[in-house]
Amino acid sequence: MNFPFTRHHLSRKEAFLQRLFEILPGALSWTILLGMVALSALNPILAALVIIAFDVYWILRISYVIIFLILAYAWLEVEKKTNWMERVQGLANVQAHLETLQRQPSKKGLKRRLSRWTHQKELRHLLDSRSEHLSPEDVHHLVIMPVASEKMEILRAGLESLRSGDYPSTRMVVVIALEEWAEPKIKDGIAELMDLFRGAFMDLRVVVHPSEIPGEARVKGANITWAARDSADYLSRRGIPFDHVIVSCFDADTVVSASYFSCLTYNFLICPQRQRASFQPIPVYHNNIWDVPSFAKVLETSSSFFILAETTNPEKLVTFSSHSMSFKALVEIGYWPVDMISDDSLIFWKALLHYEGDYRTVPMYVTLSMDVIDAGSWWKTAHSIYKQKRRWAWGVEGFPIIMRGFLAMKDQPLRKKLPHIIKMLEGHIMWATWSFMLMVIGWLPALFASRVYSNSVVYYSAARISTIIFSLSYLNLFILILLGLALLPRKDVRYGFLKRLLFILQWFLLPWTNLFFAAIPALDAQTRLMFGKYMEFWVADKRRVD
Amino acid sequence: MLLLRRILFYFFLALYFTLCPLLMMAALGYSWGARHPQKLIKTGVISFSTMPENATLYLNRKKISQKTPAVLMNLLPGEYTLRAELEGHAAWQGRIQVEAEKAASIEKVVLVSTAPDADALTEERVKSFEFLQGHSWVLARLGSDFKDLQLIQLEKGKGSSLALPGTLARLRDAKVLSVYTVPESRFVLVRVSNGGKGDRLLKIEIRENPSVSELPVVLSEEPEWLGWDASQENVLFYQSRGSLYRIDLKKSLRPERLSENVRGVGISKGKIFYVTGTAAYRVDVNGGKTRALLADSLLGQELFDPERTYRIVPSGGGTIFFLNDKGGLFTNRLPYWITKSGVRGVVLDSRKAQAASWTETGIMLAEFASGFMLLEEDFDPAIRSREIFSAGHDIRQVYWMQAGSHWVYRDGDKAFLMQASASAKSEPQLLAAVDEEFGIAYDDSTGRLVYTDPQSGKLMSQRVLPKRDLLSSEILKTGSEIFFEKDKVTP
Repeated sequence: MNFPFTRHHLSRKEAFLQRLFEILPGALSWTILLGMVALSALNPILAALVIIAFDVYWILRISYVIIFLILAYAWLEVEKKTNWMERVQGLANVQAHLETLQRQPSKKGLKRRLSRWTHQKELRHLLDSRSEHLSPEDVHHLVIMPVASEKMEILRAGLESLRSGDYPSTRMVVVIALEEWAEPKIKDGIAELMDLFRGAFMDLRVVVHPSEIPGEARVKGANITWAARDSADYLSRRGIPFDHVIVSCFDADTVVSASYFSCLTYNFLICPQRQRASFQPIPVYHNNIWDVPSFAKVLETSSSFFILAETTNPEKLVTFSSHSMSFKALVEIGYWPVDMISDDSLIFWKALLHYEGDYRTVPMYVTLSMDVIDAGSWWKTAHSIYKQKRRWAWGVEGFPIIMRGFLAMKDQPLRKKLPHIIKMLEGHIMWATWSFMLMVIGWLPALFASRVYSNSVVYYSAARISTIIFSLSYLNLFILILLGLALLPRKDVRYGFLKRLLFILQWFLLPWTNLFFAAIPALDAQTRLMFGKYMEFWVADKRRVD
Repeated sequence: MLLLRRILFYFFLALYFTLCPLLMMAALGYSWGARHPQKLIKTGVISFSTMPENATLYLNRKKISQKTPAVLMNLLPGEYTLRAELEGHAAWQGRIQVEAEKAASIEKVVLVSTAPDADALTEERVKSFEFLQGHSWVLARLGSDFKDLQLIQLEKGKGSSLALPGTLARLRDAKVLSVYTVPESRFVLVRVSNGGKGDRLLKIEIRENPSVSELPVVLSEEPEWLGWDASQENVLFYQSRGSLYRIDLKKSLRPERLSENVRGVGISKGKIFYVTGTAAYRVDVNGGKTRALLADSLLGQELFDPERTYRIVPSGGGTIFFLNDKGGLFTNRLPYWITKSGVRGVVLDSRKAQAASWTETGIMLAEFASGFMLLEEDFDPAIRSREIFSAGHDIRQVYWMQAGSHWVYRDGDKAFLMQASASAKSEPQLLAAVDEEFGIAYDDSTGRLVYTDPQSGKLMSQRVLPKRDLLSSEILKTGSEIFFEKDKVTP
């Protein structure tokens, strides 16, 4: 479907719809919040009942997510020791590989047996699907790493992880997408890296993105699109078919795990419709996690949990942060949006609309690690994290475009589009209102307690019911703490015990942390969009203490 | 995984739509009573707390596991007898009416100690005393002269005579004619005789080392009323021969006549209210335009009897109580009249927007609207008044206690403590036998009752509330704005 994935240069009708859907999320969030404040004052009994309904919804939803979070974490553990490279090699002849596996005695340990059983199932599925066979030798990787003001040491660790993985780096073309406006010292650092990694990859290229290109905003999407277009020429010149290329767009601080590319190649090869899929790993924020304040650790661990739980729902999984996809699909859909901030998730929606619903995200149970924001001091870090979360919440800018896209996608039945719309709208609204409802509005009926309310049974029973619900939520919190501890890198660090203890204690402040670093930034972003105050990209402060 | 997701999704969805209505019904008070013929019944709640806490509770004589503070839920509508017992304290028992969907809230019931902690504040017999409300001090008169005045701090339990500076030293033996106090004010005015050379007005500043100075105001005769606003202490008002006067001590000492034929005055929060003819007026303490509070002359004639005198008690929140010398009590809010006769006094609790008025035998609670309550009413909110207690004999004084949860009152020669709640009917608890002539005072910030011992005549201070149970002074400051009307009602 040829759909203008932008908010610019729209027809009058499209522009009206665009504004309408820009206003909708913020208007709904504010209506819920202000409506509840008014209801608490005017009819506190009804407000208390609504709050009970919300609390029940919240505890059940959290419990539901946690069940899948546990399952996803368990699967991450199952696949932790998988030799993905061996599996990739086996895909050269799928039938023979499957027969070999079936002849081999079953492995010891539940995890290994489960992993092998899944592998065999995937191979059978691949054979049954009769999709175009692609040999592992045919696959090439294109890795784009955008750089604006990121320091050399940040980028070096990422490049090092690409070189030292189990997948041959000689099949990788690495492109450093450099902004023309980057400072000279950044450019000098890149030159140093070019020397350092000369010959480490099939090719290591620097593509400079010119500033002030008409139609572009100062966003990351414009930079990586420029690099991808340039890479398309590069690959064409070398006769490498686009459908044999997997493109990975990594933030400069991304450090992939050793088996990332073998796992990615395996998932790409066994995916029957590999040209209509993105591949989403589990992002973790381990690069500098021991050097940042506890609240930042908890927040970023929560982000990892979010994606981890989402991986169990591939039907609705949306790409997030660093991920990979078919280069052919990227070219066909017209690359990343060049005038929007949230390129990581918008690329999925762009593909979904382009292929009229025939596009999906494949979860990969392999991690890649990034930096937690660290601006030096507690306050500066908190401020930077706020800005980062607001930028993430600015993903709501995609809602009006996706809605217009769904309206234009007339061939698709509503039942296919509606779950996406509900999930997206509910996600954004809950993001902005959830913590307010729990931490602030829940108290208002009692705070505004008039004589009629304080003399009612609801005044006492609502508090008791809420207390029971919050007590039950401690079980969920306990699970989150355990998973959080399990997900932390096992590395000897100075004051490790104390840092882990602070990390545990910080979880108990999660409702407040979420209020300040999730709900308020989300409401901020939605309000800006509602009033047409569009945001531009901002490079987060990241540093590492060696 | 997808199948599991779907199964769990529908399971949680079903759970939500089952749990939510059930919890909402439970929140509204619905309960499943196995012993009751109806399966689904509406219940009520009793919320009960005591001071001190941790008292054992008996509901209809059956001991319950909860100790105070307690919320007793799922109670069938009806009357319950609740008893609270705590070692070293007199037991409290009350009858509580539980209504469906409603909560009977009986909060901070004071359990009186069986071994009262009472101290003598004076070594000698007192002639009278004035409680300086808002400061926890008492001005005791041990004789008829100025030198016999003692300023006593309740918490310390010690008093000191008042030292007169140089030129005023000769007034040491002057006879005290009247003492004027205003709640929350930092000073007391004492009118003393100057040996036939006109009266003099002395100002005593209430502090650790009290200072005495003279006000350059000459009152030709004893005023019928004298007062000032605690926040504007440089402006004095007095009523003499029916006229109301104002003196601005910072500007001119010449009295300015505000009105003639004044038959009642009241001051609150920078405003003075007065009654003349069949109308009431209001004017800023600092002067300015006089505003008539009642434009309807017919209603004025119905409410204000030109033959009567009035005490005016403004609540500060817009509701004004008028008490006439026949004991008729009315307000500026519908339905205006609370009682046509027999009321001896009225005392306000502005924080909770309630007032207590008392007759010879009973105490009545009047609730008036304020703040968010106004949003609940479709009509102009009316005063709701109910008789809470009717078994008194000769009730003379009532004080609010603990920001409106209790009353300390004097019935003849005894001081009692009483629950100020319409939800529970409880018996008054005896605090002390007092000298009928001098009355009592209760200080909410120290939790002490002040009275004169009928045998020794000494001024006594008895702790009613343990120190740990006292509310913060900030709460009391807003909650105990008491306008106390002494037993001067003429039938």
